[in-house]
Amino acid sequence: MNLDDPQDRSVAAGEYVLGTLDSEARAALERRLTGDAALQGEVYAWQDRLVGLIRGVAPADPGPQVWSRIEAALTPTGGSAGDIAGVRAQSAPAIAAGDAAQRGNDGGTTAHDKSASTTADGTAASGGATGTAARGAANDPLWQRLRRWQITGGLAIAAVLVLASLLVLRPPAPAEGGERYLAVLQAPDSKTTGWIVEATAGGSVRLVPVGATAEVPPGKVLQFWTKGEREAGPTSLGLIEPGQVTELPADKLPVLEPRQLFELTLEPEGGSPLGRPTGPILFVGSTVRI
Amino acid sequence: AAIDLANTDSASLERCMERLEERRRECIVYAFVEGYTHEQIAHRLATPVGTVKSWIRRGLLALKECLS
Repeated sequence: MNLDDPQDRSVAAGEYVLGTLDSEARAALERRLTGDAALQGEVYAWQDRLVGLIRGVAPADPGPQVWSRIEAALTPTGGSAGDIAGVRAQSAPAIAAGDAAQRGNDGGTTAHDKSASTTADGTAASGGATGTAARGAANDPLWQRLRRWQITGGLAIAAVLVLASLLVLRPPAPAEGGERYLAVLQAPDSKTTGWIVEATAGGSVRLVPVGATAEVPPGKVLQFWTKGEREAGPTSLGLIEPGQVTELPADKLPVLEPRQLFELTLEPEGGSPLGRPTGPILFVGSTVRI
Repeated sequence: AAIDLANTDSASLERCMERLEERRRECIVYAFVEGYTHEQIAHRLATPVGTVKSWIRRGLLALKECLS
Protein backbone atom coordinates (compact mmCIF):
# COMPACT_ATOMS: atom_id res chain seq x y z
CA MET A 1 0.00 0.00 0.00
CA ASN A 2 1.59 3.23 -1.15
CA LEU A 3 -0.30 6.21 0.24
CA ASP A 4 1.35 8.52 -2.26
CA ASP A 5 -0.11 6.68 -5.23
CA PRO A 6 -3.61 8.06 -5.96
CA GLN A 7 -5.14 4.69 -6.83
CA ASP A 8 -3.57 2.91 -3.85
CA ARG A 9 -4.70 5.74 -1.61
CA SER A 10 -8.27 5.44 -2.73
CA VAL A 11 -8.32 1.66 -2.37
CA ALA A 12 -6.69 1.94 1.07
CA ALA A 13 -9.32 4.48 2.15
CA GLY A 14 -12.02 2.15 0.79
CA GLU A 15 -10.60 -0.82 2.66
CA TYR A 16 -10.31 1.30 5.79
CA VAL A 17 -14.04 1.93 5.57
CA LEU A 18 -14.76 -1.70 4.71
CA GLY A 19 -12.74 -2.67 7.78
CA THR A 20 -10.42 -5.06 5.98
CA LEU A 21 -7.05 -3.35 6.44
CA ASP A 22 -4.61 -5.29 8.61
CA SER A 23 -3.35 -3.60 11.75
CA GLU A 24 -0.16 -2.29 10.20
CA ALA A 25 -1.86 -0.78 7.15
CA ARG A 26 -4.62 0.70 9.27
CA ALA A 27 -2.16 2.29 11.67
CA ALA A 28 -0.19 3.76 8.75
CA LEU A 29 -3.34 5.18 7.23
CA GLU A 30 -4.55 6.61 10.54
CA ARG A 31 -1.19 8.30 11.16
CA ARG A 32 -1.50 9.88 7.75
CA LEU A 33 -5.16 10.76 8.22
CA THR A 34 -4.40 13.38 10.86
CA GLY A 35 -3.54 16.49 8.95
CA ASP A 36 -4.20 15.06 5.48
CA ALA A 37 -7.56 16.55 4.60
CA ALA A 38 -7.55 15.01 1.12
CA LEU A 39 -7.17 11.52 2.57
CA GLN A 40 -9.89 12.26 5.10
CA GLY A 41 -12.00 13.29 2.13
CA GLU A 42 -11.31 9.91 0.49
CA VAL A 43 -12.36 8.10 3.66
CA TYR A 44 -15.54 10.10 3.98
CA ALA A 45 -16.30 9.68 0.28
CA TRP A 46 -16.07 5.91 0.77
CA GLN A 47 -18.32 6.05 3.81
CA ASP A 48 -20.75 8.00 1.70
CA ARG A 49 -20.57 5.51 -1.16
CA LEU A 50 -20.93 2.43 1.00
CA VAL A 51 -23.31 3.55 3.71
CA GLY A 52 -26.27 2.57 1.53
CA LEU A 53 -25.26 -1.05 2.01
CA ILE A 54 -26.27 -0.70 5.63
CA ARG A 55 -29.11 1.77 5.22
CA GLY A 56 -31.08 -0.21 2.71
CA VAL A 57 -30.60 -3.86 2.10
CA ALA A 58 -32.38 -4.02 -1.23
CA PRO A 59 -29.98 -1.56 -2.87
CA ALA A 60 -27.04 -3.80 -2.04
CA ASP A 61 -28.61 -6.84 -3.65
CA PRO A 62 -25.68 -9.18 -3.23
CA GLY A 63 -27.32 -11.89 -5.30
CA PRO A 64 -29.37 -14.98 -4.55
CA GLN A 65 -26.32 -17.07 -3.81
CA VAL A 66 -25.30 -15.03 -0.78
CA TRP A 67 -28.74 -14.69 0.67
CA SER A 68 -29.60 -18.35 0.20
CA ARG A 69 -26.43 -19.31 2.07
CA ILE A 70 -27.23 -16.88 4.85
CA GLU A 71 -30.82 -18.09 5.05
CA ALA A 72 -29.67 -21.68 5.17
CA ALA A 73 -27.40 -20.76 8.04
CA LEU A 74 -30.29 -19.17 9.92
CA THR A 75 -32.55 -22.21 9.69
CA PRO A 76 -32.46 -24.10 12.99
CA THR A 77 -32.38 -27.45 11.17
CA GLY A 78 -29.45 -26.34 8.99
CA GLY A 79 -26.25 -28.18 9.82
CA SER A 80 -24.09 -25.11 10.19
CA ALA A 81 -26.72 -22.80 11.71
CA GLY A 82 -24.69 -21.88 14.76
CA ASP A 83 -21.64 -21.29 12.66
CA ILE A 84 -22.57 -18.39 10.40
CA ALA A 85 -25.20 -16.90 12.70
CA GLY A 86 -22.69 -16.97 15.53
CA VAL A 87 -20.07 -15.24 13.48
CA ARG A 88 -22.50 -12.58 12.38
CA ALA A 89 -24.17 -11.91 15.68
CA GLN A 90 -20.86 -11.68 17.43
CA SER A 91 -18.90 -9.96 14.75
CA ALA A 92 -19.21 -6.59 16.42
CA PRO A 93 -17.63 -7.32 19.80
CA ALA A 94 -15.32 -10.00 18.46
CA ILE A 95 -13.90 -7.80 15.77
CA ALA A 96 -13.74 -4.83 18.06
CA ALA A 97 -11.77 -6.89 20.55
CA GLY A 98 -9.56 -8.09 17.73
CA ASP A 99 -9.11 -4.55 16.63
CA ALA A 100 -8.09 -3.53 20.11
CA ALA A 101 -5.70 -6.46 20.32
CA GLN A 102 -4.13 -5.44 17.06
CA ARG A 103 -3.70 -1.85 18.05
CA GLY A 104 -2.38 -2.73 21.44
CA ASN A 105 0.37 -4.87 20.02
CA ASP A 106 3.13 -3.46 17.88
CA GLY A 107 4.31 -6.77 16.39
CA GLY A 108 2.56 -7.20 13.06
CA THR A 109 2.32 -10.97 12.72
CA THR A 110 1.85 -11.67 16.40
CA ALA A 111 -0.87 -9.07 16.64
CA HIS A 112 -2.63 -10.62 13.74
CA ASP A 113 -2.57 -14.09 15.27
CA LYS A 114 -3.83 -12.65 18.50
CA SER A 115 -6.66 -10.97 16.66
CA ALA A 116 -7.65 -14.22 14.99
CA SER A 117 -7.79 -16.10 18.28
CA THR A 118 -9.75 -13.31 19.96
CA THR A 119 -12.33 -13.50 17.21
CA ALA A 120 -12.57 -17.25 17.53
CA ASP A 121 -12.94 -17.09 21.30
CA GLY A 122 -15.52 -14.34 21.13
CA THR A 123 -17.57 -16.39 18.71
CA ALA A 124 -17.28 -19.63 20.60
CA ALA A 125 -18.04 -18.17 24.00
CA SER A 126 -21.32 -16.70 22.86
CA GLY A 127 -22.76 -19.67 21.01
CA GLY A 128 -25.71 -20.06 23.38
CA ALA A 129 -27.11 -16.60 22.99
CA THR A 130 -26.78 -16.55 19.22
CA GLY A 131 -28.56 -19.88 18.89
CA THR A 132 -31.64 -18.25 20.39
CA ALA A 133 -31.33 -15.27 18.06
CA ALA A 134 -31.10 -17.56 15.06
CA ARG A 135 -34.23 -19.49 16.04
CA GLY A 136 -36.18 -16.28 16.59
CA ALA A 137 -35.06 -14.93 13.25
CA ALA A 138 -36.37 -17.93 11.34
CA ASN A 139 -39.96 -16.89 12.17
CA ASP A 140 -39.62 -13.29 11.01
CA PRO A 141 -40.31 -12.01 7.51
CA LEU A 142 -37.18 -11.76 5.44
CA TRP A 143 -37.02 -7.98 5.51
CA GLN A 144 -37.10 -7.93 9.27
CA ARG A 145 -34.13 -10.22 9.36
CA LEU A 146 -32.43 -8.00 6.82
CA ARG A 147 -33.00 -5.02 9.06
CA ARG A 148 -31.41 -6.85 11.92
CA TRP A 149 -28.33 -7.44 9.80
CA GLN A 150 -28.20 -3.81 8.87
CA ILE A 151 -28.21 -2.92 12.53
CA THR A 152 -25.58 -5.51 13.30
CA GLY A 153 -23.43 -4.15 10.50
CA GLY A 154 -23.79 -0.64 11.85
CA LEU A 155 -23.01 -1.83 15.33
CA ALA A 156 -19.91 -3.61 14.14
CA ILE A 157 -18.48 -0.32 12.96
CA ALA A 158 -19.69 1.67 15.94
CA ALA A 159 -18.41 -0.94 18.38
CA VAL A 160 -14.96 -0.87 16.84
CA LEU A 161 -14.79 2.86 17.42
CA VAL A 162 -16.22 2.75 20.92
CA LEU A 163 -14.20 -0.21 22.15
CA ALA A 164 -11.02 1.02 20.54
CA SER A 165 -11.41 4.31 22.33
CA LEU A 166 -12.19 2.60 25.64
CA LEU A 167 -9.51 -0.05 25.53
CA VAL A 168 -6.64 1.36 23.59
CA LEU A 169 -6.48 5.08 23.62
CA ARG A 170 -4.87 6.82 26.50
CA PRO A 171 -7.27 9.00 28.47
CA PRO A 172 -7.00 12.61 27.37
CA ALA A 173 -4.59 14.66 29.45
CA PRO A 174 -6.52 17.12 31.60
CA ALA A 175 -6.32 20.51 30.00
CA GLU A 176 -4.95 23.23 32.21
CA GLY A 177 -7.37 26.00 32.97
CA GLY A 178 -7.57 28.74 30.40
CA GLU A 179 -5.53 27.21 27.58
CA ARG A 180 -6.82 28.64 24.33
CA TYR A 181 -6.92 27.02 20.93
CA LEU A 182 -7.80 28.21 17.49
CA ALA A 183 -8.62 26.27 14.34
CA VAL A 184 -9.21 27.70 10.89
CA LEU A 185 -11.64 25.55 8.96
CA GLN A 186 -11.07 25.50 5.22
CA ALA A 187 -12.70 23.78 2.28
CA PRO A 188 -10.54 20.70 1.50
CA ASP A 189 -10.29 21.47 -2.21
CA SER A 190 -10.34 25.22 -2.62
CA LYS A 191 -8.71 25.97 0.76
CA THR A 192 -11.27 28.72 1.19
CA THR A 193 -11.65 29.66 4.84
CA GLY A 194 -15.22 29.33 6.02
CA TRP A 195 -15.20 29.11 9.80
CA ILE A 196 -13.02 29.69 12.85
CA VAL A 197 -13.16 27.52 15.94
CA GLU A 198 -12.09 29.12 19.17
CA ALA A 199 -11.92 26.95 22.28
CA THR A 200 -10.91 27.68 25.84
CA ALA A 201 -10.23 24.86 28.28
CA GLY A 202 -12.85 24.95 30.99
CA GLY A 203 -14.73 27.59 29.03
CA SER A 204 -16.51 27.40 25.74
CA VAL A 205 -16.10 26.44 22.10
CA ARG A 206 -17.19 28.98 19.56
CA LEU A 207 -17.71 28.24 15.90
CA VAL A 208 -17.75 31.49 13.96
CA PRO A 209 -18.55 31.85 10.25
CA VAL A 210 -15.97 34.09 8.62
CA GLY A 211 -16.26 33.79 4.90
CA ALA A 212 -17.71 31.74 2.14
CA THR A 213 -20.55 29.68 3.52
CA ALA A 214 -21.13 26.46 1.69
CA GLU A 215 -24.52 25.97 0.19
CA VAL A 216 -26.56 23.44 2.10
CA PRO A 217 -28.92 21.61 -0.25
CA PRO A 218 -32.52 21.02 0.85
CA GLY A 219 -32.86 17.96 3.04
CA LYS A 220 -29.25 18.22 4.21
CA VAL A 221 -27.72 19.72 7.33
CA LEU A 222 -24.32 20.82 8.54
CA GLN A 223 -22.90 18.68 11.32
CA PHE A 224 -19.98 19.76 13.49
CA TRP A 225 -17.37 17.19 14.51
CA THR A 226 -14.12 17.01 16.39
CA LYS A 227 -11.40 14.43 16.71
CA GLY A 228 -8.34 14.52 18.95
CA GLU A 229 -5.03 13.23 17.64
CA ARG A 230 -5.23 9.94 19.47
CA GLU A 231 -8.95 9.37 19.15
CA ALA A 232 -10.22 6.62 16.90
CA GLY A 233 -13.13 8.55 15.47
CA PRO A 234 -14.78 11.94 15.43
CA THR A 235 -17.29 13.02 18.06
CA SER A 236 -20.37 14.90 16.96
CA LEU A 237 -20.81 18.35 18.42
CA GLY A 238 -24.26 18.66 16.94
CA LEU A 239 -25.94 20.28 13.98
CA ILE A 240 -25.24 23.88 13.16
CA GLU A 241 -26.95 26.64 11.24
CA PRO A 242 -25.07 28.01 8.22
CA GLY A 243 -23.78 31.51 8.79
CA GLN A 244 -24.50 31.61 12.52
CA VAL A 245 -22.22 31.64 15.53
CA THR A 246 -22.50 28.47 17.58
CA GLU A 247 -21.30 28.30 21.15
CA LEU A 248 -20.93 25.14 23.22
CA PRO A 249 -19.50 24.44 26.65
CA ALA A 250 -15.95 23.09 26.30
CA ASP A 251 -16.83 20.04 28.36
CA LYS A 252 -18.78 18.77 25.33
CA LEU A 253 -15.38 18.12 23.77
CA PRO A 254 -13.87 14.67 24.31
CA VAL A 255 -10.46 16.33 24.49
CA LEU A 256 -8.92 19.73 23.85
CA GLU A 257 -5.39 19.72 22.54
CA PRO A 258 -3.13 20.94 19.75
CA ARG A 259 -3.63 19.42 16.28
CA GLN A 260 -7.20 18.47 17.16
CA LEU A 261 -9.42 18.26 14.11
CA PHE A 262 -12.64 20.18 13.76
CA GLU A 263 -14.80 19.77 10.71
CA LEU A 264 -18.19 20.36 9.17
CA THR A 265 -19.78 17.67 7.04
CA LEU A 266 -22.93 17.55 4.99
CA GLU A 267 -25.33 15.03 6.50
CA PRO A 268 -28.90 13.90 5.94
CA GLU A 269 -31.61 15.76 7.83
CA GLY A 270 -31.43 15.05 11.55
CA GLY A 271 -27.69 14.39 11.35
CA SER A 272 -25.58 11.35 10.58
CA PRO A 273 -27.49 8.19 11.40
CA LEU A 274 -24.26 6.38 12.20
CA GLY A 275 -22.76 8.69 14.79
CA ARG A 276 -19.83 9.41 12.52
CA PRO A 277 -19.54 11.55 9.39
CA THR A 278 -21.16 10.00 6.33
CA GLY A 279 -21.24 12.99 4.01
CA PRO A 280 -18.53 15.06 2.36
CA ILE A 281 -16.31 17.35 4.42
CA LEU A 282 -17.12 20.96 3.66
CA PHE A 283 -14.63 22.58 6.03
CA VAL A 284 -11.83 21.10 8.09
CA GLY A 285 -8.96 22.38 10.19
CA SER A 286 -6.85 21.56 13.21
CA THR A 287 -6.13 23.49 16.38
CA VAL A 288 -3.08 25.48 17.36
CA ARG A 289 -2.51 26.68 20.91
CA ILE A 290 -2.59 30.45 21.18
CA ALA B 1 -41.80 -3.34 2.60
CA ALA B 2 -39.68 -1.34 5.02
CA ILE B 3 -36.84 -0.95 2.57
CA ASP B 4 -36.17 2.56 1.40
CA LEU B 5 -35.64 2.81 -2.32
CA ALA B 6 -36.43 6.49 -2.60
CA ASN B 7 -32.89 7.58 -1.91
CA THR B 8 -31.21 8.19 -5.25
CA ASP B 9 -27.77 7.55 -3.78
CA SER B 10 -28.95 4.11 -2.78
CA ALA B 11 -30.41 3.57 -6.22
CA SER B 12 -27.10 4.29 -7.93
CA LEU B 13 -25.27 2.17 -5.37
CA GLU B 14 -27.68 -0.64 -6.14
CA ARG B 15 -27.11 -0.27 -9.87
CA CYS B 16 -23.35 -0.18 -9.46
CA MET B 17 -23.28 -3.11 -7.06
CA GLU B 18 -25.28 -5.11 -9.58
CA ARG B 19 -22.74 -4.33 -12.27
CA LEU B 20 -19.86 -5.69 -10.21
CA GLU B 21 -18.68 -9.19 -10.85
CA GLU B 22 -20.44 -11.42 -8.39
CA ARG B 23 -17.34 -12.44 -6.43
CA ARG B 24 -16.20 -8.85 -6.02
CA ARG B 25 -19.66 -7.82 -4.88
CA GLU B 26 -19.82 -10.65 -2.37
CA CYS B 27 -16.47 -9.67 -0.88
CA ILE B 28 -17.55 -6.07 -0.39
CA VAL B 29 -20.84 -7.07 1.21
CA TYR B 30 -19.19 -9.62 3.48
CA ALA B 31 -16.61 -7.09 4.60
CA PHE B 32 -18.85 -4.07 5.08
CA VAL B 33 -22.19 -5.52 6.13
CA GLU B 34 -20.99 -8.60 7.97
CA GLY B 35 -17.71 -7.21 9.24
CA TYR B 36 -15.68 -10.13 7.94
CA THR B 37 -11.89 -10.01 7.65
CA HIS B 38 -10.00 -11.02 4.50
CA GLU B 39 -9.38 -14.40 6.10
CA GLN B 40 -13.03 -14.95 7.01
CA ILE B 41 -14.13 -14.05 3.48
CA ALA B 42 -11.48 -16.35 2.01
CA HIS B 43 -12.71 -19.15 4.24
CA ARG B 44 -16.33 -18.47 3.36
CA LEU B 45 -15.68 -18.39 -0.38
CA ALA B 46 -13.10 -21.18 -0.24
CA THR B 47 -10.61 -18.95 -2.01
CA PRO B 48 -7.01 -17.92 -1.23
CA VAL B 49 -6.67 -14.72 0.80
CA GLY B 50 -4.62 -13.09 -1.97
CA THR B 51 -7.48 -13.60 -4.41
CA VAL B 52 -9.97 -12.08 -1.97
CA LYS B 53 -7.71 -9.03 -1.53
CA SER B 54 -7.52 -8.65 -5.29
CA TRP B 55 -11.31 -8.98 -5.70
CA ILE B 56 -11.88 -6.32 -3.05
CA ARG B 57 -9.37 -3.97 -4.66
CA ARG B 58 -10.89 -4.37 -8.12
CA GLY B 59 -14.41 -4.26 -6.74
CA LEU B 60 -13.74 -0.97 -4.94
CA LEU B 61 -12.13 0.60 -8.01
CA ALA B 62 -15.02 -0.50 -10.24
CA LEU B 63 -17.54 0.76 -7.70
CA LYS B 64 -15.83 4.14 -7.42
CA GLU B 65 -15.66 4.45 -11.20
CA CYS B 66 -19.32 3.52 -11.57
CA LEU B 67 -20.45 5.96 -8.85
CA SER B 68 -18.37 8.87 -10.12
